[in-house]
Amino acid sequence: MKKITNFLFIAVVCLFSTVILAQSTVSGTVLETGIDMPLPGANVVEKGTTNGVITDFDGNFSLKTQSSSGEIVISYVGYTSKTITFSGDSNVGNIELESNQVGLDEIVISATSFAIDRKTPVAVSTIKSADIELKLGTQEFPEILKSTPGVYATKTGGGYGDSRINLRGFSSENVAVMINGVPVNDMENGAVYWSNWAGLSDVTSAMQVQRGLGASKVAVPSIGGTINVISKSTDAEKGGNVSMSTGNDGYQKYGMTLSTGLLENGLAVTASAAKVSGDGYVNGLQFSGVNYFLNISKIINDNHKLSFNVIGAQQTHGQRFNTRTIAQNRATEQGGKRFNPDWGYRNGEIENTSFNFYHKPQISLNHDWNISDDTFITTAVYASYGTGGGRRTDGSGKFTNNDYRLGDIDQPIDFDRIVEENKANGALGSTDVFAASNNDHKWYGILSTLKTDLSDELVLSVGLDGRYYVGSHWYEITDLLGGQYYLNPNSNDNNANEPLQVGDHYNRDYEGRVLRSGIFSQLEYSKDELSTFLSGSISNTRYGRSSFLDDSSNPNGNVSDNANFLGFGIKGGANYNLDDKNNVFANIGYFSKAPFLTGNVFLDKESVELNEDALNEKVFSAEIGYGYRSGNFNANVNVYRTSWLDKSVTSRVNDPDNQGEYLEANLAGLDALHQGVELDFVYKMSEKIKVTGMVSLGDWKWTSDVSAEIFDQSGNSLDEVIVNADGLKVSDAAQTTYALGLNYKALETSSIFLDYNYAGNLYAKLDITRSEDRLDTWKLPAYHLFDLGFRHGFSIGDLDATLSGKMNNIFDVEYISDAFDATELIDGVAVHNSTNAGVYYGTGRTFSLGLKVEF
Amino acid sequence: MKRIFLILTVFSMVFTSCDPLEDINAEVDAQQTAIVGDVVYTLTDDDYDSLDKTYGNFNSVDEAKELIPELLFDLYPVWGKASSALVTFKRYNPIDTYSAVVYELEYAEYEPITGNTYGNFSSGGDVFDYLDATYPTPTEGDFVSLKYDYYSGSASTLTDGFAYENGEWTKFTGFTEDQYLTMGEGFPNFSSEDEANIKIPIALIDVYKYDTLSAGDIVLSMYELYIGGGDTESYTAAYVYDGETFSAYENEAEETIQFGHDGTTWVPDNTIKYTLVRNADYEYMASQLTGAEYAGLIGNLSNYGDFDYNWTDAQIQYALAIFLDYLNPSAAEGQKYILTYVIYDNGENDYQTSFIKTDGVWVLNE
Repeated sequence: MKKITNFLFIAVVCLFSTVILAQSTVSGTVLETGIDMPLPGANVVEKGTTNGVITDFDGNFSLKTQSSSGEIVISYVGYTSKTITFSGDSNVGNIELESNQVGLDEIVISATSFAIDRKTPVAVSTIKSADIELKLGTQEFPEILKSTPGVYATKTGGGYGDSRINLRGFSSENVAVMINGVPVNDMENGAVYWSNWAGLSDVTSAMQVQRGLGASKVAVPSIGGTINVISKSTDAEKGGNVSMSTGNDGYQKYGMTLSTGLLENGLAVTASAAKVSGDGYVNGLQFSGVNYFLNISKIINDNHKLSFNVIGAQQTHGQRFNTRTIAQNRATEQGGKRFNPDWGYRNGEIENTSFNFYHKPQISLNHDWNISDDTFITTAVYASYGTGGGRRTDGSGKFTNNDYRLGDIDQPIDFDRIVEENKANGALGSTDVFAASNNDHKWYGILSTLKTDLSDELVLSVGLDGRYYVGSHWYEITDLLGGQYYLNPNSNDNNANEPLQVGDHYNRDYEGRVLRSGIFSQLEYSKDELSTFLSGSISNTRYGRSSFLDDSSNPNGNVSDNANFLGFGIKGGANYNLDDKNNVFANIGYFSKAPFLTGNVFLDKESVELNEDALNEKVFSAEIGYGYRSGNFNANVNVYRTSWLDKSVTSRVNDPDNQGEYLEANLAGLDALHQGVELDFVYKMSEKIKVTGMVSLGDWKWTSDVSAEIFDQSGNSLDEVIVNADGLKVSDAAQTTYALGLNYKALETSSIFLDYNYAGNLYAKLDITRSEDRLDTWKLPAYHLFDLGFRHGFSIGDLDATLSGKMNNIFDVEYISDAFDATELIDGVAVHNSTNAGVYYGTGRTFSLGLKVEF
Repeated sequence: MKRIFLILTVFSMVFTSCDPLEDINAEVDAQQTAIVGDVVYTLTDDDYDSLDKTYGNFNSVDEAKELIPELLFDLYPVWGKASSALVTFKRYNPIDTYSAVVYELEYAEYEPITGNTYGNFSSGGDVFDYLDATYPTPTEGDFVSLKYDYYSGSASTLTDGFAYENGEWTKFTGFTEDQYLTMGEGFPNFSSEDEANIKIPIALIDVYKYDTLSAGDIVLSMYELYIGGGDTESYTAAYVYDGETFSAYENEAEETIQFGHDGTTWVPDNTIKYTLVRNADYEYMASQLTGAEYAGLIGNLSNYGDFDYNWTDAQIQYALAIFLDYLNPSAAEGQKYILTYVIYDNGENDYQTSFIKTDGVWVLNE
């Protein structure tokens, strides 16, 4: 490992070495396009050298060049760079730079909590649409972020949209994802399902990862960080594009986008849609989806702007759910990269035991209102109606019985045989059937922020965040597989032992209700080189539940009492620009947040009995960072320390003295500490060559033990809960990641790139509350991956066209991306190793080629 | 530009050789995973020849246990541990046959036994009393064939054989005159052994029509051949029932033994392999696990038909042992089972555990 680290440093150092020659003097003025405002602090660099100056307050510069003729590159963060030729001493006059700040005006930044470089004191990585377009290929949306610090993204089982992202070691329930400022994390369990947002990449204007506390002004902060995605809006130019791409394993995508641009009447409409389908790299993971996006914006007058957005993705995809050990995978004909135990053939067509179908569109109406020169209000009202589910199997176990395969255990499932047997069973009903675990939701929210300049230096923001959510969860029979009915085997169900037909509910049928309301306020002070903020929030989360199918477990009625959890947060930070190149920042925060509804709010999944002792989780986080900006080299480094306190542990047993009652233990005090160092840089070695890099070193550990015994009324111990976690590594996300990227701009509109990614210090996943032996889980082998891609811009007649290609994992490296811990008994001692761990292999070599024609 | 290619080259050299799973894969490959087969097999004539058993049978079960593993290894050379073979073979199992000239009882011989002068026997025990009186000191293997009159509602003449075996007289029921008549014989005897072997199996179907015989059952019969000089001689013979018809017993018994592969060789093994039925078998366990320890665990058994990661190995084994008592309550001491069941741990996977009944309880069979 050391070797690689050394190598990285040497590589970076090599890139800095230059040769010094001689001379001319070039002068000029740098202005912002459109408003002709001078740009102070812009970088002016002689191309191919590190020789450069910075513009003065009026945008003027004078550069002594090393050559007597050549090119100078003028760049400024947030603006598109420009290259100007010179010959001898000369004044090149006014040079206009175009803003590339993705059209983000102050309101957008405020509404979406986008961080501003050298001002907002948080660790941040921003990826713009051009980079997304260049690097996505057939990857999942979160994988675009894999070269940013603190991120571990995988495809998990490999199904379309089944990817996950961990930030600083925290899984998605602790990572806030917001689209145009609207939160999309599941209201009950906090998770993010990327398949719901499959079309996002097509319409993303920019995405920003704010690690740690972040700049978000929502009332409930997240522990790991915030991913802000901003879609295209009124900034879209008139025109559009059609695109098509193809790739490995039948990948096909067709898309179109059309924008009216801003019309004279103040209206702008952008519509986009794409159709995606493929067979999947992994066997049996065929997918099909339609993504759509609609934005209708209307600038009513100088003070009012309305924007209506609809974004959604309807998709179905096969899944790889069940894991196998490495030995089991290796014994298959397909090998672990492609083997999937969860599919087979029915009537000659692919059929899955694990299959996902969802459609959760989000509709929002944004209103921006400039009340005065100093004050504006931005308000988003949103609604989401989600429907869909995942296939489940039920019955006598034929789907998992290897006798029901078309050959050996690595062969597809013989669904036809199960259908034949169900048919033959006649009036006795089906033995094995398909069902679905449905999860629908109705979700309404409002997010409103008022921002006012109290003085030149002082800005106050106050806002409210209200959300109401109803999630419906039930199982229903979806396919009797040739039989006449299915006898409900679930003894707790009200309809136990009744014949079920397609559409009948069973096993689970309940709804969860979440009402969250919060307010927040933030005071920002900016003067000269200093910007600071202090913000506070307070929120109430109210949970409720109704159970519809399990009266026996709910003797006191089917509707729960409401449980209220009061949360609050306070955070502050400061950024100080030491000079035009250097800045430092720090932030610190503490918050207390409600547990998730699926956590320990209720006694169990279907129960309406409240757990009286459910606790808020608390987080303390502090961070310091340093940034360096120059014309050709930008770097950031930061150190963070996040304490996650009071992760709850619960245990319960039947009360032997009171039939049907439970005795329980709620244990507080299971703590974790996530700390680390993150570094990233961009070095424009020359106008043609850009090097990017990242080093992220995490040290994420559990820092306490908890234990308790449950006693009956006579004082007899019924159960003992022991969690020996102190000192154990946090699992399931690589604690060490590196990335190095090389981009070579061969022509003005053509470039090729090579990306290297490393992930190490990755431990097999284990729910920490199961840890008794105080041993780290299996440490997965670290892996190195390379991606290669190109983009070539050209013209077809008057139309601009782009051909882009991408190959991921070019060396077809076989590696494990996700593992679930299991022990092996060696001489009577349980050892955490690779032998029995269930694993998902990462994807091997994949490729895609796409053409986009703009008009 | 050159520098880029240099970097690219170095990159490629450093990293292409990197195979993250190299060590683990090598370890996995080093452990040869056995091919597991299960077969039901009946030895063919060629199989006996290959084992130098030219008579086409084994002398004893012990001999079969000794020789069959050799044959199984030849038949299934790549099968390994946990394979099983249910093998049916023939064992040499001669049944003693007897013959004797038929002795016809005289009128005066009935009275000392029955105490009356009807000139016949009338109860089942009479003929045995006669044997005891007539042959007070029989020796093992003695055989007599008696032709006697018997009254049971009406008088008839019977010819039965009696062999002294294991210290007592065993009766071989002969055919009555009516039965010979049915078989097309004018006299109560056959003219040849061949004729007997053709006709008797047909007659036996009628004889045993009210008995519940099962395939493989052997019945003993007796018939007469005329030997000249007014005498007939009785011969006993064994016939084997195949479920539908009888045929002459060839002095071979069919035996079935299960063999298992222990990783090295085939050994006689009674292991029964069983895959738990979802959810029914799991529900049974849930219904039996009433201890407080299991209160929070059993939900997944009945709801999903699997164990899950909350179960310890010891708890799973305890539950499976309870299930085996239910599955096979009368299992003999030493009976082995390999149970296949599902554990949910971030996905479902099959697991197998082997049990043996020892001192009346199911224990792990490592």
